[in-house]
Amino acid sequence: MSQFPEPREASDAAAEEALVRRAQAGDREAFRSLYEKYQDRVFATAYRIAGDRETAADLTQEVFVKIFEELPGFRFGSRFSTWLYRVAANHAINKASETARHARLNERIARERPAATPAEPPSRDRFAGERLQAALAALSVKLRAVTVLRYLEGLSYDEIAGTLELSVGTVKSRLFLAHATLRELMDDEVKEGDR
Amino acid sequence: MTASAPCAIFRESLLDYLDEALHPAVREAARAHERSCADCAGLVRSVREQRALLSSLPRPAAPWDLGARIERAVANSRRASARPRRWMAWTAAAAAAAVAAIGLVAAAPRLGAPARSLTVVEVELPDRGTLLGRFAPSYENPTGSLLDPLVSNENP
Repeated sequence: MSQFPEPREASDAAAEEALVRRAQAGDREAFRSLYEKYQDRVFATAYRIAGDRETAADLTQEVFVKIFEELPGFRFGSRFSTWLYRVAANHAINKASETARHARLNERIARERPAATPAEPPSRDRFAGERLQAALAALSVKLRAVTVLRYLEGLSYDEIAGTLELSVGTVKSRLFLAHATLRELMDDEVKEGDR
Repeated sequence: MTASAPCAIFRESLLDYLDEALHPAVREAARAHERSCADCAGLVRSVREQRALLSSLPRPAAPWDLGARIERAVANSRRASARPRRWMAWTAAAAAAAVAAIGLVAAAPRLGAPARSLTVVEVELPDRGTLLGRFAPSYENPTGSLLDPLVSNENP
């Protein structure tokens, strides 16, 4: 089941297609209706994958600009929402990968300098949800993306495969690896907290 | 720790097992393995817990002005894409005007200017034979000048 606003009825799908066609013809109100409908979901996905609100807001803007620019060439080979999601997820993944590269570089620079203050130890009584969120943020971008799309956005394996242009088998193996890594990260944090 | 063969098979189909997407016979075999293997049973519990927690995480709220920001960004993109078209239209208009002006100047009769014509001439060159060339008088040089040879029959 997909939580992303897929048209549940054929009439919804037809109404959405008509809206997209109006937007393609240059109807600004139609395009506004599209981004008002999808902006929260695109923001949520970008936020979960990229990791911070400001980046997610920038990404959401960029995604809709890209959609606006490429809309005339959209030929309804897939649902509009699937196409939008593909653009959003890939854009967020690219941004997060770039940020991760910078973070690794900064980490290396920081390691070469003496630490000013010791890192704060994790709180002992952190709730499981918070621990999971922290662990999710520590996953690699590839693993985080499939986890977000599956459990936070409710996409099916097929939809994730279509969105990320992967095989269903790869989606499942990444998801399994994500679970195994989350388990290890959460266990480590519990052990750290017990010390 | 490396998983044993039954554990590896079980883990490979873990997501389908939890989604209840396995064939009934395979599901029964997986359930039997889960009951008999503490490691795999622990993994199942952990993944179930993760899935429940992940699905219950609140959706992050978008900034209140996100719609306005998208509106502005799209309007900027619209303006940016319109700009080159306007530039190209102006350039095309200017080029057309320049061509028309040159045409008018060239076509205008000039007082005292010799009529322009193109003549093909054969020129005898001492010790070099004949040279066939285009002869065109110009306003600057009314007596004309040999522009370029067309056929040369020069002596070797």
